[in-house]
Amino acid sequence: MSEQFSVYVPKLINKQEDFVHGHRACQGCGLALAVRLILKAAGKNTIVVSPTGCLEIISTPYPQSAWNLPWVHVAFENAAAVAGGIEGAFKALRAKNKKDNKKINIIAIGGDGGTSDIGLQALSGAFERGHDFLYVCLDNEAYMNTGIQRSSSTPFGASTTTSPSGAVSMGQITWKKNMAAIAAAHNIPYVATACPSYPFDLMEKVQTALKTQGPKYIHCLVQCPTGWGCATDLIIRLGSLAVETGIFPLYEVINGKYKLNMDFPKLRPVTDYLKFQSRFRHLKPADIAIIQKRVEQEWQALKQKVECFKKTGVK
Amino acid sequence: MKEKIIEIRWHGRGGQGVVTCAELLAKAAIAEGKYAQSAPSFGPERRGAPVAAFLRISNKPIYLRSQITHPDIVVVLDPTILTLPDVTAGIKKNAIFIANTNKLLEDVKYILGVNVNLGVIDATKIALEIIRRPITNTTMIGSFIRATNIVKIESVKQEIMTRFPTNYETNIKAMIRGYDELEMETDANRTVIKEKKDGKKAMPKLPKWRELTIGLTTKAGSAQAYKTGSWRSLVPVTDATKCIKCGICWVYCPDSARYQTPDGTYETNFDYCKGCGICARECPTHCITMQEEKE
Ligand SMILES: Cc1ncc(C[n+]2csc(CCOP(=O)(O)OP(=O)(O)O)c2C)c(N)n1
Ligand code: SF4
Ligand code: SF4
Ligand code: SF4
Ligand SMILES: [Mg+2]
Repeated sequence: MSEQFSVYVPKLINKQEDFVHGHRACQGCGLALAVRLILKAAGKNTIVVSPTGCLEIISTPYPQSAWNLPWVHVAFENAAAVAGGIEGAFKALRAKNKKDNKKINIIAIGGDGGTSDIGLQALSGAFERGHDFLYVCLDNEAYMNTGIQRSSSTPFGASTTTSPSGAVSMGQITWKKNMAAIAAAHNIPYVATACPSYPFDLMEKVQTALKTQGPKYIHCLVQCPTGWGCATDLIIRLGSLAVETGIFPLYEVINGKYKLNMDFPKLRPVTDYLKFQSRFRHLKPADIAIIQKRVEQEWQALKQKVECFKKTGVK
Repeated sequence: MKEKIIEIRWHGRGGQGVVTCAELLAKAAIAEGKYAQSAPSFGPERRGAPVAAFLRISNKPIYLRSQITHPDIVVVLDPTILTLPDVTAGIKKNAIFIANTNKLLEDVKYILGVNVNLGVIDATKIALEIIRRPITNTTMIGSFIRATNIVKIESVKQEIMTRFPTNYETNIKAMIRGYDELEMETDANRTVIKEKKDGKKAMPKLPKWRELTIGLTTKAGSAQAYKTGSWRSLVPVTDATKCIKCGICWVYCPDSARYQTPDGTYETNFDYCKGCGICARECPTHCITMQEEKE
């Protein structure tokens, strides 16, 4: 994958670093990489809102800030509400002629806990009210900041400190909540999945989203060597494996229309992805077979949605 | 042991087991009828970052709950952090200082720049030989017992057996070698050094959090003042002759620690590189190799 981008890289990507080095993320943190790329894509005139989570802790150790742009830290549960409030404030200021009409990007960036668990109602409300903002969920598949507790986004079988594997438990026993589908069910104009292993795809999606009027949602899988128990240098490969095994398909839902960004004639077996992570190490072949079956079912269901829109041509 | 609280500070990197050291020794001391307390340092530390753990041992109950700022004993598990000001911060005069290093005793003394009662041990070598991984915590416990005599090696053995039911044998072996091979300064061979007067502070003086008003704006991009390069144990070394100037390493670095040199090839910014190895793994021409960081 990476090879084909080689020649374009230095020319195409914004050189400005708005998520500066000196941030305190772990070695090889996919979350830090994703933020760096998202800000490169967003460019100037961007305001970011983040709930608590790794992102807050690694980027703003008092009294420093790794953000080179306006960044607002809010509570764990209300990032989307605050982002909506910022948009409302700009509207009000413009109505009073206290602000020009220059476009300002408002991006809320939260963790999977802050998005699919505690922040879900604020997010749903902001989508429903139709605020013009982008919400990005950086999904490292657990509450990493507080020490790897499960969230509703933790995948089936993963061992966390609150879904430990052992004699009586095989790790997480529930299936990962499908946040992208939940966002799409709000009939918002743009929903996408992404992963920093595909930096151009991620940045393009951020730019498409920011050009779209209304609420937008990007669900970004971010690799966490600390919580996943994987080698720090392997994270880019792991992201690609998540996509190539069908565990984390890359797709967009544009005005309700599904579009698959990477299709494969045949999915790689899920073990190719699972075996590099200690959180899955305890899984037995029978458990892996369950995961394999589920991944294939979901992949087929996704492809059917894509096909259906191709045929009917529904806009 | 006198009727006083002995305060011990442990330094290492996240993931190396400093907290385990403090815990094992606290439990061993309690098993011997003493009072003890262990705690990790609080902070946003992440894997690879320098971290500390605290241990208090006493013959009387301990009511203090604070972090240890003026230690009687300091133990450093990782050779690459000996130069950080944190390891000697607030250290008492003639405190015991035990360092994992392959350097000579007097060289370490000059690196530290403070008059401590120094002990050195090449714990990484021992750990690699016995445990086959550079996890030095149990070796350093051995050296600690030898230098301080605060707890008995037998009681720690018990704790190690409970804590590591499957691999306690190697850990106990490592502890005993740490005990046997520690090289400690004696009154006869003590190096006395002139201490620097202008002990530079790592961070500027700032208001305490209680003094803050509600809401606060910090300076944009100010995190750059903190150099994460000290977190590194492996370092990416680039062979510029093989670099095809593609910039892949730059794109994928989570710490924006690769930059383009005037001739178009890419190099590492060692002030910030954390040594994750992504650039080396993703470089299409394999011109980056990860090498062991020199002290
Ligand atoms: C209301 C509330 N409950 C709990 C917490 C403690 N807390 C802080 S961050 C966090 C977990 C964050 O998880 P996630 O959103 O997935 O972000 P990550 O750290 O994994 O990036 C928790 C539980 C809090 N700050 N506020
Ligand atoms: S715990 Fe995971 S997400 Fe958080 S900083 Fe470390 S690697 Fe990044
Ligand atoms: S090892 Fe490479 S990718 Fe990792 S921080 Fe250093 S320069 Fe960046
Ligand atoms: S990835 Fe390798 S070849 Fe490409 S710019 Fe970096 S060092 Fe050079
Ligand atoms: Mg999370």
